Amino acid sequence: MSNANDRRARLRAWSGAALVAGAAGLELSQLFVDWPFPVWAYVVATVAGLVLLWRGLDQLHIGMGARAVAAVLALFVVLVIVVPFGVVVVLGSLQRPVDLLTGPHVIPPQPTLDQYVRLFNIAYLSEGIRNSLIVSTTAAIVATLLALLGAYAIASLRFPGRRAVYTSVMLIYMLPGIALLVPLVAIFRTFRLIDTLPGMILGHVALILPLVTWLLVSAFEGVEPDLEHAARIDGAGRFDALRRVVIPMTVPSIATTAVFAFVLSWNELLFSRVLYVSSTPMLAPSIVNLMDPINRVEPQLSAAGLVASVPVLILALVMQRYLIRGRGEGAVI
Amino acid sequence: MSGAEAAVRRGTWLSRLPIRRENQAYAALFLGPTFLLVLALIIYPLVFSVSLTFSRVSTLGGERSWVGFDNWARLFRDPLFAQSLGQTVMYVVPACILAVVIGLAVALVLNQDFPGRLLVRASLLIPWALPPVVVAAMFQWFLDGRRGLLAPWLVQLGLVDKAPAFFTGVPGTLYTLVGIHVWKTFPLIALIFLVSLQYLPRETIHAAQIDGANAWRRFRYVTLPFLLPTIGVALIIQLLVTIQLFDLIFALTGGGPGAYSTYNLYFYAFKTSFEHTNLSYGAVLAYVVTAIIVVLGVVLTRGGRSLRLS
Repeated sequence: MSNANDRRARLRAWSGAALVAGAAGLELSQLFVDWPFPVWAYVVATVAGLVLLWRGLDQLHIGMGARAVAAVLALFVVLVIVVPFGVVVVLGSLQRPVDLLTGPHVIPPQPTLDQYVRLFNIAYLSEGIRNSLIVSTTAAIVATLLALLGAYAIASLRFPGRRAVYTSVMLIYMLPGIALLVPLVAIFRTFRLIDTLPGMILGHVALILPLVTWLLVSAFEGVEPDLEHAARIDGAGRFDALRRVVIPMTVPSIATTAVFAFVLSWNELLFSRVLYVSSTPMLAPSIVNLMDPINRVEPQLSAAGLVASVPVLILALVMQRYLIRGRGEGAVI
Repeated sequence: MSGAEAAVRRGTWLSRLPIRRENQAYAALFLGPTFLLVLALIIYPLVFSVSLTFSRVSTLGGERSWVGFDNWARLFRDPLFAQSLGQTVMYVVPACILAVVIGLAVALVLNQDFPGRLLVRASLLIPWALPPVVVAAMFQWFLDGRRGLLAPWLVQLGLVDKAPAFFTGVPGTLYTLVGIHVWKTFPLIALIFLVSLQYLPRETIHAAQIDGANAWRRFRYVTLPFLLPTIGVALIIQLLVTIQLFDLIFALTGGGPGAYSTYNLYFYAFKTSFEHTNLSYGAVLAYVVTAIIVVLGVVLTRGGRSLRLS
């Protein structure tokens, strides 16, 4: 009896899977063969297939159906995320500009790394890469070092006005960049900081410092106060306690925060654009320059885009375990 | 020297103060550098900005003259201000709804246990980490009418009859930007929901399952109520981020096509300050954006408290 049921369930699951796969195959075949397969047929077949798959598997093993359907749906999510980036930026950068004339290609007809070589002949782009590396690294380090002290004070020291300081960190973090930038430009002009690397670094520090402080406060609040007290009873000063107890215990959070600051600064366009006149191009505004509607060369733009993406993608993937902290504090950054 | 003596000596002179004094001294010492920097780079500029709004200043420098409330009064007879404000809403509403709905759906899918799930989670970080200008450049080509891939795909798959024009319509172009913005932001929202779902007690779900509740009912009566506070947080984050949408507009449309059809308030403030070189009116517009954000932020998050999940 139960065997017959099992067999029916298995049949359901398999036919569901076949329906999903078949519909996808038919739909995609239209990219290569010219024949009409109506959208509604695809949608109906896929939904019906997913339902069959879910029901069938759930009969075999409770909870299994949802997992299988989730795996299928996750594939769609990945496609939506990866296809534009993979096809346009990665594969697109390998095309030659003449390939644009023969219509849009997914696979470059004659893949070449030409565009990457050419990138370095565009002065403002190679300067932009260099400046962005300098500014983002310096700004991330300066902001993190300053915030280490400030955040420790807010998280561990009891002093009058502590709440107010904490709230104002939050408030300042919320401020829109433009509100800061308008007066900053007027002030920087007085001090001749516009279009200089120090000015650019200061601008970026102003941009990321509140967020970095806020993140580190939440990290430090997670440190067991007893450990710090123990160190203090052993005669460690506040500075020693910070250096020898609090910082070692929160290295992942601090590293994540620094990475986060770097990514924020690297991706930033508004400040980089406005604080630059002619001598300190940054990477993000340089890419916008390449997007000029008349002179743009798409494969070149893709190559520049990939170069600009590689550092942040590597950092994000390396730090992904810490970017989503699933434990006690549960903060997402 | 005995060990105990050495231990006492190790602290600095500050540690020998009474505990409360010591706390305050260290707080001043540690907060000092940050405070000075914030004072110079954030608070002073903001205060200075008030004086900007009452004078006429050009980005190019030159004479500065006092004009009283002229700049503020201009808001009320500036049709572009009203238009930008309206278009800000046109950006915010669909971007919030779409990103939260899609983010929630994706989180529910990725919360299941299937092989390769960590890989999918990792791929969520791609749109989040990519520089917005790269996303802009990527979609500029992907959606291009003649050279792009998406339009011919849509036609070949039979989803549309003729290639849609993504960057020429009014107000269509604004919604193209919304779509790109959602592509970039839904993964973070999904990650927020995923973290929250980790705290959903499995026993409750199991109990509902044993009681015969189907998947929809389990979602509707167990998961959704549990996630409600997180949905609020996600909406607020997305709201604040979308009001400040700038990079995509700057890189992709420059505010066009047509008569400023993709301006939002933030972009208008930028244009006024740095391309029409009117820092004073730009400061007024920036203050309006700030007021909207701070009021919404403070009211909706009860002073930032609800932004801290857990």
